[in-house]
Amino acid sequence: MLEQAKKTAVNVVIVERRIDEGDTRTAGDNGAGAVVSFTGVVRDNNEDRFVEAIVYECHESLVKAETQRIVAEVAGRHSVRSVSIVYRMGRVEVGAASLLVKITGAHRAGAFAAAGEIVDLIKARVPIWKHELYSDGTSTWL
Amino acid sequence: MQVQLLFFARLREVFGASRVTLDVSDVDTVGHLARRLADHKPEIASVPLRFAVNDEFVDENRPLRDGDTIAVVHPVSGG
Repeated sequence: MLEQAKKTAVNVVIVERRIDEGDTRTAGDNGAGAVVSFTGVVRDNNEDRFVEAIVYECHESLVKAETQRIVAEVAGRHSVRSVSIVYRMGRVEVGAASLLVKITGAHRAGAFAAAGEIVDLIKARVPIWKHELYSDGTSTWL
Repeated sequence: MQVQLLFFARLREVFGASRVTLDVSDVDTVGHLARRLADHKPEIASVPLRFAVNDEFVDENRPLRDGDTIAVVHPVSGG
């Protein structure tokens, strides 16, 4: 099949500023019939506490390597053409994005399935830690 | 034999540094190193640690080698 012959294009970026739509690279692929994106956003509460912001910290090279491994695993199960992932480090305010995953595929089924699995595996395996800051001035590492 | 350990987030605060050079002449494997760290900081004894060398997770039987840079990775919680 033409779509399976093409290797999945993978792009992993770590930024310390607001995530921009242009951080993903999905343009210029006329074989993609579906684009699925997931945005992880800092919410204003966690376990009955009011959250003001989260400070994200990671092991950068390990984040990139482990993300590449995750994408390779998932791309082996679903037909996807490209995977673009943006992580934001540093202080992220409530309502702002800390993660953007964008996937293109020839068809929506593969793209939806891959998006869900990739986000689940990122949460489970990628070494990113969160220092949650509360509105009462306290904080905790998650 | 010396290795470098990398600590992040809460572990960085527990160990008071993000990067530590350690003489491990009497430590043979990653698992042995984990037990040594727990002896040194009992508050992390119950934390399930993972270790990564050259950006790849390794198991506890992996022998330590002079010059290794070893990331000490503790669990990430929350969604």
